[in-house]
Parts: sequence; C-alpha cells; structure tokens
Amino acid sequence: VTTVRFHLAGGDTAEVEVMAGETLMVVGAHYKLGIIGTCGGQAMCATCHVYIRPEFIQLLPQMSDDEDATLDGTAAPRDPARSRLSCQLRAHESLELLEVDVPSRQI
Amino acid sequence: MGAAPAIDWFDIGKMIVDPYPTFERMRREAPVAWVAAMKANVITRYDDVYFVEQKREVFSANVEGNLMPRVMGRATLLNMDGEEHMRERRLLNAPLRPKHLKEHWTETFKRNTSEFLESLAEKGPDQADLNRDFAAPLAAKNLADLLGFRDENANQLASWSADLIAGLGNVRNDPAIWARVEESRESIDEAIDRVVARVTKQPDASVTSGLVSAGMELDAVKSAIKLSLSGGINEPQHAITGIVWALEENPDQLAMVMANPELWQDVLDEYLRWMSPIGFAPRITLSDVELSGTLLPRGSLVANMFGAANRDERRYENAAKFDVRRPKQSHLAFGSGPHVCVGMWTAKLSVAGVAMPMLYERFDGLRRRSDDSSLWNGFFFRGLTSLPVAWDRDRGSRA
Repeated sequence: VTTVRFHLAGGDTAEVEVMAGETLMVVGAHYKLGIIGTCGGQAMCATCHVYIRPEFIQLLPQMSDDEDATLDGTAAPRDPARSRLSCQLRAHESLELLEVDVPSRQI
Repeated sequence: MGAAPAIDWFDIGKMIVDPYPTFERMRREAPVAWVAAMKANVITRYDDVYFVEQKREVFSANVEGNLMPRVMGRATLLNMDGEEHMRERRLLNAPLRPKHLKEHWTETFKRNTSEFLESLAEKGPDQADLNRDFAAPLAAKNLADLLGFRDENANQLASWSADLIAGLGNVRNDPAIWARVEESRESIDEAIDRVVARVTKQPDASVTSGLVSAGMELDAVKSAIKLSLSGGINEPQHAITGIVWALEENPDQLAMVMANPELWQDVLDEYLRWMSPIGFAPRITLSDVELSGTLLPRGSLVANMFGAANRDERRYENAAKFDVRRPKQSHLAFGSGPHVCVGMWTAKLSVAGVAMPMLYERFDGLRRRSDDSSLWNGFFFRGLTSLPVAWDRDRGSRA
C-alpha cells in the first residue's frame, strides 16, 4: 500500500491508501480529486496530469516516450521536472508515501 | 428492476432533422429504452453513457451484426476488446500524440488551411460555401497528408470516406451500396499498398509509416487506415462549419474569442459537447447489468448516445445553450475509455489550433448568408450539410 496525498487546486488535501499495482489515476478519478482519466489509462488524453512534489520525483520510474509525448498536451502548463500522467504511476510496496499537486484544470 | 421499456416515439425521420427534443424526453422518461428502429437499447443520460464507456468487461465493442467488419474487410479497433484491442491501439496512438503532431504536422495543417482559404476567397462573398470550399476539402487533405496518401486528392479521399460511411449505415442491405463499398475498398487497399511500399523504403512522420515501422501486420494497417478514413473527415468538417454558425448566434462569445485566441480550444470543446458530430457507439452486454433502474440482460444490444449525454441537464446547466464560458467539464463527444477517439489531438490542432484562427484572421466580418436551420442534418453523424458565407473584407493571404 502506498499513501498518496493529493494536494488539490483549491487548497484542500486528500490522503488515499492505494493498493500496490493500482494507478493514481484510477483512485484520483474515483474520488473525484481533479483527475479525469478520459482514455482509461493509455497515456493518450492528458487529463490525469499531476505535479510530483520535488522530494518524490526520484522515487518514481522514468517516464516512457508515450507519456512524454502526451504531456505536451496538458491543459495546465507542463513542468519540465514535476509533470507526470497519473495513469502511468502505480502504487508499490517499496513506496510508502507520495505527494502530488493536482493542477487547476485537466481540459 | 424492470426491463427496458419499448418506446414508439423515436422517429428516425425526426431524429435526422433534430434529435435533441427526443433525447430530452428520453433522458426524462425512458433513459434506457428499447428502440425497434435502432434494434438497440438506447442510453441517453450522461452517467449511464459514461458507465457504459468505462465498463468494458460488461459492454463489449464486438457487436454481432455490426456492419463494420464487412465494410472494412476485417474487424477494426472499434470491434475489438481487451488486450487484442490495446495491442493495435497502442501502435495507432503513437503518431497521434500531441508532441508528434505539433512537431511534424503544424506546418502542413497551416499550408492546407491557406490553400483552402484561397479557394474560399476565389468564390467571393456572394458564392462562397464554407463547407464545400473550405471545411470539407481541408479536412480531407489534412487526413490524406497525415495518413501518408500523396497520389490522391481531397475529393478522392472524401468520396472514399463517404462510401465507407454509406456501407456502415447500409442496414437495409442495398446491393448498390455494397457494390460501391467494395469497389472503393479495393481502391483504398491498393492505395494503402502503395503508401506502405513507399514508407517501408523511406519512413516519414505519417501514421501509416508509424504503424509499419512499429511492425503492425499489413491487414491491421489497412483496417486502421480505413477506420481513420471513415471517421476522420466528417467530424473536423462539421466542427469548422458548426462553430461558425454557433459563434454567429452568440456575438458576445465571438468577440471574446477574437480578443483571446487561446479560447479556440474551449470553443471546440463546447461545440463538440453542444452538437456532437458522432451520435453514438454500439455495444453488447456480456453479462446482466443495471442502468438507471433498468435491467439489461446478457446479450443486449446497446446504442450509447454521446449526443444525448452531452446535453444532460443533470451535468450541464442550460445544456442546450452553446456557451464557451460555462465551467469546464469533460464531455463524451470523443467517447471515453479504451475506445476514446484516437484523432482527438489531431482535431484540437487542425481545427482549434490552426483552421479556426486562420479563418477569422483572414475574413473580417465573416458571417453566414443563410440562417436556414434545415442545413443541420443527421444523428448518426450530425452537422451542417452546407454553409453559404459572406464577409466584409478579405485581409488576403499572408503566406
């Protein structure tokens, strides 16, 4: 289980326990945390955009070319270091905590 | 929990003229309704349509009796489920992501837009038709270039696309339509063979080249390209003309967009919500399932109505109104889930990023010469069949 803190655009924070193997997108869309996930997790729609808090960036797997190519289409500005698609980020046994900022818009 | 009620007031003739009054009544009275004329249970509320799109283990795209495999010569991505679908879909996604499109296709889309703005200008403000002289040939030429066709002009592509679409709608089994479909399909397959031969030797940024380089089998390439041909021209074409209509109805919104060109993306999204170019997707249930208190038994055919969902008052306030300023919420015009429209970024770039701003930059005082609402047609595919336009001043080509 990974604890994920979603820092929402309005200032609130939502803390969710995510089962290993599950993506942040599925959880963020389910609890309506400013994540849409239109394409269902194929890194195609850019509506599950999150900014990773700097101290967690190194703990995550490298992004694929597909994710990089779709991040060019985010509605909120892309941050060269912090932007990721949450459909490509899975909870993991070795990852205890992850904090992300949710952009003010996904479309 | 009851079975879907059969309704006898779903009149196909009226739907083609204007489906929205019927959609409104269906959402209110019969959100899951059996419609004999569609041979399907028609779903109209946003939450239900979204659920059907997302719940792919229950709602299969592999619908028995669907004409698509016959038209295309093979099952397409829109008839496949699960991993089989994703294997081919992943390959088709790659050349259609925003980074690739912006890097390789922005200039081509601009050049094509300039070319057909010139055609429109040549007709002059007394004769010009925005659909015939601009939107239709531009959508076809953009797609031809994107797919890698070089020997065929926009008319050829538009005619192939029309034949494939006629086949998809040939529920009455008209042999003359099948003959047209088969003839066009043969020509398209031969044209794809030529493109494949070229890009195998000399890879480029086209979709066909991307699929071939990624190792997709030839019959899968042909199926994906034919699917793109059938679904990649009408929609941008209808968006371009429909946006001009909608902005003329709402001059305050037009002024706002002219002052803030970054709003073109919002205009496109609002248009697609308000007048969804693709009406629905067919599905079949793989198990019993409940929707809005109605039981759909395993094996039920479903018509998942994007156009109806996008006007659901439960989700969108004043849903019937075109309003660029409404709070941004996602819509279902591109579908959702694994089958979401693969051309959505192409539409955003070619229509909202290039065609619309260039059209309004060129023609000062662009307006329609007709307010005949019968120009709107269809509910499988909905849009303007023509749009005569005039303008005060042609600012001329700046290319």
